[in-house]
Amino acid sequence: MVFSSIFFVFRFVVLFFALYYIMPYKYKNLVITVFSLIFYSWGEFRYFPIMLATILINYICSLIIEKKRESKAVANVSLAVAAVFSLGMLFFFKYADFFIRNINSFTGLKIGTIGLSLPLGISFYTFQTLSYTIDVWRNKTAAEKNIINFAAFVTMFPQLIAGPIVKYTDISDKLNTYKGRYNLQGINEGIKLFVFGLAKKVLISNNVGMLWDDVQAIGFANVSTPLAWLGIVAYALHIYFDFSGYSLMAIGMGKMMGFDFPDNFNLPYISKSITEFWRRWHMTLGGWFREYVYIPLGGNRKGMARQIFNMFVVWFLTGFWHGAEWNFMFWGLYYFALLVLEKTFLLKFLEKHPVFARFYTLFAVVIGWAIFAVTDLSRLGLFFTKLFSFTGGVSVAYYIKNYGISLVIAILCSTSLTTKIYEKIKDNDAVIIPVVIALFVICTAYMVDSTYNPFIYFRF
Amino acid sequence: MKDMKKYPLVIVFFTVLFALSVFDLFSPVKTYSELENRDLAEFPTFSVKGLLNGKYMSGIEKFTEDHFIARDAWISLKSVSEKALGKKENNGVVYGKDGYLFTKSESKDYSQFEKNISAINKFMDRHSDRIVSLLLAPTAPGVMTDKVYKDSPVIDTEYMLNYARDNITNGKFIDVLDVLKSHSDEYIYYKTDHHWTTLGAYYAYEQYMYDTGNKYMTLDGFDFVDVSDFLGTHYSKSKNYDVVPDTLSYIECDADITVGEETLPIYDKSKLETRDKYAMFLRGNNGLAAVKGNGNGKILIIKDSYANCFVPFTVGDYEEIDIIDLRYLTMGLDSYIAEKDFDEILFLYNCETILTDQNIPKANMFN
Repeated sequence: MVFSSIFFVFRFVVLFFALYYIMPYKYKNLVITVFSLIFYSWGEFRYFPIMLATILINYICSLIIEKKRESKAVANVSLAVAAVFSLGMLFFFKYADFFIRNINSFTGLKIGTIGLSLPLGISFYTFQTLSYTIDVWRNKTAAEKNIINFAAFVTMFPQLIAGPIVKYTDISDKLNTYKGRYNLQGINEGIKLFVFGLAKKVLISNNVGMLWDDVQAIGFANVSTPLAWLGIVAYALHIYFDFSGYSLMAIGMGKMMGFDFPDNFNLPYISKSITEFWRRWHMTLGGWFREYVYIPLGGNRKGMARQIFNMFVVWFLTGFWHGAEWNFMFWGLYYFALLVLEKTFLLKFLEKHPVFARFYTLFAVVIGWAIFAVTDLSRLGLFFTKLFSFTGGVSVAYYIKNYGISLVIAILCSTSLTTKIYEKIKDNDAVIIPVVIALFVICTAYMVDSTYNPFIYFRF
Repeated sequence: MKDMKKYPLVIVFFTVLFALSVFDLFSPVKTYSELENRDLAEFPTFSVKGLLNGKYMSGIEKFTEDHFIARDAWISLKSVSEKALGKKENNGVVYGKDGYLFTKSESKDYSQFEKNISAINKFMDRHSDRIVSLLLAPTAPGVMTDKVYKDSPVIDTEYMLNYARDNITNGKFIDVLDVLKSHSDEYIYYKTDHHWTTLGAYYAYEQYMYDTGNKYMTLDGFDFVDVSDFLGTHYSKSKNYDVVPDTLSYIECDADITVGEETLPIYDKSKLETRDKYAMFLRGNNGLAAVKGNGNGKILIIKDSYANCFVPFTVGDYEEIDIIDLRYLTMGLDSYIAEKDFDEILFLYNCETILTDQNIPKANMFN
């Protein structure tokens, strides 16, 4: 069930909030858990037991860690059990086939692939449960005693499939606050964010995303170089508005429920360096790797060589987290290389040349999206040849005419212009109410006649 | 609850959301969409298998979307919004000038087309004792070129016709592009449908008869009947609010058509009351149908739906016209041809069908 669908908005959301607001305080987390489990199981009911096992194992292990804190061995074993189970599930579903295919092609063996689809949101909830159990082990938080509350944290449907990655400590206070968790001010704010997020996905992302599909339908060999560039720029806008739209819808629904999820995107395309870009793009993922991989490895405290190694590990994992294909690994390592360059000397230069810095950053990010978007390596090679060989082919003219206005809107909405306007009007009801309702109505029209509504997180 | 007044958006938003949901739940269920010319999704029947693999759930989602309250009004709203965004296409249909709608065609992959031409040429080689021809009908963008906006992604008609002309070596290639282009100021293609008009089909008929050395009737020998307010297949996809309806025409023809055991009038005029008016010709697409004419000789037409308004012109010229649609054919072709001993065999396909149709190689199977 995707967020940008009639069924989600006019059935699931309606029923959920009706029950959530009506139910007595002590049942509110139960409502969250039940609806989230339905949401999780909706596409593939057969994965329901996996979610239950994930919840139970992390719940029990964390309780044991807390009870037996004085005995380090027991706590360590409990953490290991939870981590091995969670990461094992992630590995089995997401990466096993990748390794089997590569082992087969290197050795000539014919090991059968598993061929299973990914359980919904497994990359996100695995990181959430891991962070929770590690935090309990580190004694940063008390273990959750109430299994319903814990299940609500793990499965919480707004952020289950596309983030933000919410740590238990982000919401544990609210999760255990039954009365007065939400108020009208928060609901009011949440509605605005939800509708803006929906508009980002339905009106902007879907509209520019079609251009990238056009380029693929024409074939990389047949497009002209300008069209190849326009296509990958459209993809860059598409993935930003899709991903940040989903996150914004999640944050909005969270606020309507009374939770404050962390921000996930902060205008990444206005960055003046790649270092800055990754502080603005999918912030909760970067934060997770920093807290649970980079710093435990020693971060920047053990000398330059060790720091570069640590960065290598983080960016290799970041790339691979996005999908079990070589290109995602290359994409991660590409950013590793750029970040090392910036760390060693480039950043100082960029600070002195802000205009160049913006162009450099956008260029580097767009090239990155090309590596990200084309999962087949030979096609990726073909696409890069097209980008840099300046050859003719299918002209860009029609696609500029057809997508021009959508692209301009998308570009304007990628800058601080929209946030400035939003800050001006958000408390003026005479303006904001018509804007929100109009956007919601137009989004509904696009969802009713949904000729193009991709779900891009199936690899995550 | 006094606070509610401080946050009117909360009231307005939930009112809109809940009102739409509740009205939608209680709105009557339609089974057919006139606007889109298709059956709307049915509520899925429950099965454990469907539950486990998610088909049951996706069926419920599709049902909710298809039956959402005031669906047609939402579709029109989207169309207005798309126009405001300057969009030149919707759902695989490209907008042309003067209300023309064209099939969007971007792919440069001609492999199926080449297979089809080669299959037809192979067939022609086996039947070279008869007059065998291919009439590859251009679709609207190849003929009505001044109605196509510059650079629009439409089919490359000239490339395809040139390829076919060069590679059909065992039979006749009937080239109708020039004659259609010379009449492109006339109403020879529908604006909202992917077919040519009956007038367009006439010019192709004339060219075929001329090229095969047959006598034929001139245009003034036929009586045309017009039916207004025809909205065709392209409109069913594009659903643009500013559509210009077509006028469907047919020629007076009192021949009968035999499909299986049944013999009926060649036109199904009840279809003129529906959205799908083009289905009046030849009673739709059938694997095998036969029309008794009042001329001499026998012709077999292997075809797509472009032939449906073409066949009535031939009724005066042949004694029997057999019509085969390879998509629905389940028998061997060669034995049938030998048994009936046709004088002429005509492949009549439009460029868009032949580009992707996978049934044409069936002409060489089951023999």
